[in-house]
Amino acid sequence: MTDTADPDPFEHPALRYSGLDQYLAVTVPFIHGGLARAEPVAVAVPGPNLAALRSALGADADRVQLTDMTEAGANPGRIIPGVLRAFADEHRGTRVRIVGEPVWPGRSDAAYPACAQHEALINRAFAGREAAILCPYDVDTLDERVLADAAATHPVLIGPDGPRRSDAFDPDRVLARYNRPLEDRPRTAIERGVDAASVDNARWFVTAYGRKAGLEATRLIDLEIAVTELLTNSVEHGGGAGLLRVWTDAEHLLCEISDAGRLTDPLAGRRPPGPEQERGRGLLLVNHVTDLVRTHTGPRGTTTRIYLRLNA
Amino acid sequence: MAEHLDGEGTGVSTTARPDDAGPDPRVDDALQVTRTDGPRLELRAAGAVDLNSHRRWERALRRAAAVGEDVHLDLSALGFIDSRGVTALVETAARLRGDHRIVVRGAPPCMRRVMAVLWPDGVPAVDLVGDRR
Repeated sequence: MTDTADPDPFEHPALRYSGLDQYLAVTVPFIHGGLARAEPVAVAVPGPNLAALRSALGADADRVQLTDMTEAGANPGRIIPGVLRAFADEHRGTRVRIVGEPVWPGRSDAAYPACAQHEALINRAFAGREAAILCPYDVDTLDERVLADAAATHPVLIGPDGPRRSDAFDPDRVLARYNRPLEDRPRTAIERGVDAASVDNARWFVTAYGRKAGLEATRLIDLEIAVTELLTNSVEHGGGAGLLRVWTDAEHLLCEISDAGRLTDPLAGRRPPGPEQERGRGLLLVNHVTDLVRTHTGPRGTTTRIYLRLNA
Repeated sequence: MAEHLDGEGTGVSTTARPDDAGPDPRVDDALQVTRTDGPRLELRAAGAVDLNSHRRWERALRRAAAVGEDVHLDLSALGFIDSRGVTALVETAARLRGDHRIVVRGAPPCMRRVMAVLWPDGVPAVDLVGDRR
């Protein structure tokens, strides 16, 4: 699959598949190829495909780490630190293979921009790594827009005729395109200005709101953690204050924090915990404890919106 | 009289207004760290460890670690602790000499959650006992 002149050992192909047979025809040999070379293999794909792979692998399924991406990757921001790098870093010193399917037909309109940015960032996060991450895309059910984005975020595309270089590869453009103003808020959203002195009060307020909205106890803790980390960032790096907004829709509690800061590190919050990561654990925590994180950053400031499912 | 171990003067306790108003936001003292009465050195922290009290917390941990024994913490009156606060606790524990550890009684639920995410392989030098779930 690799161009022999290419010095980067990292491979990141997208598989364009139509139907389960085409899916298995590429993913199964990819997995077997890893097992045959004693390369650790992980699979993180949506439930139905996971079941199909488990069945197709038979006894070999026990030699592969199998994860349901709809749970582990509900928040795309968590996939690099919590799924991909968590696995790859466990096996530093050997090449690894991962099948990672972050986009499926049921992905919400709110989550998709985060999926595209995640795919773009895999290239940065894994540059130079001994790893191959194969990303399947269902051409029958996914929009043309999604497939075009996949061609921009993956240097190689695999189709029924085999692999070819993607001439549309431009991950930075995808990253920039989905850094956009967030979807409208309802007018019923409650708004509070928060500075250092009122962070504690804001935490209390949001927790009380969440409790009334029906968030269960462990999710209330997650909300408390996420809101505190974001407000702390606003106070310490975002100009000393943040604007907090909270509301609910049919499925989620949404909370948004805006400040005057600028997010300049695209991988912020996506590096796994470790000795090299002294600062910036706050965003990593937010990515882990919420169901979706969306961000818009620019010269006028940064807005981070977190979602927590009401019936988790 | 409880002895304050944070090196600052006696602080004002956090007083809560009626339930619908939340904690008083004008209070200076977000965190109090005191030494409990008893034969062994135990610190009790009340309030919250966040951006308003990071330095106080870190100072109290450093002084407790300097004693050179296990550090016992009663956090049952601590409402919240953020990632920087948990990190300070974990790093203090890691630097204790010999097999000494930090024993935490009554940790707030957010502490276990933060530790599970940021230290997925566990923290051997910290024992959580009787934490609030």
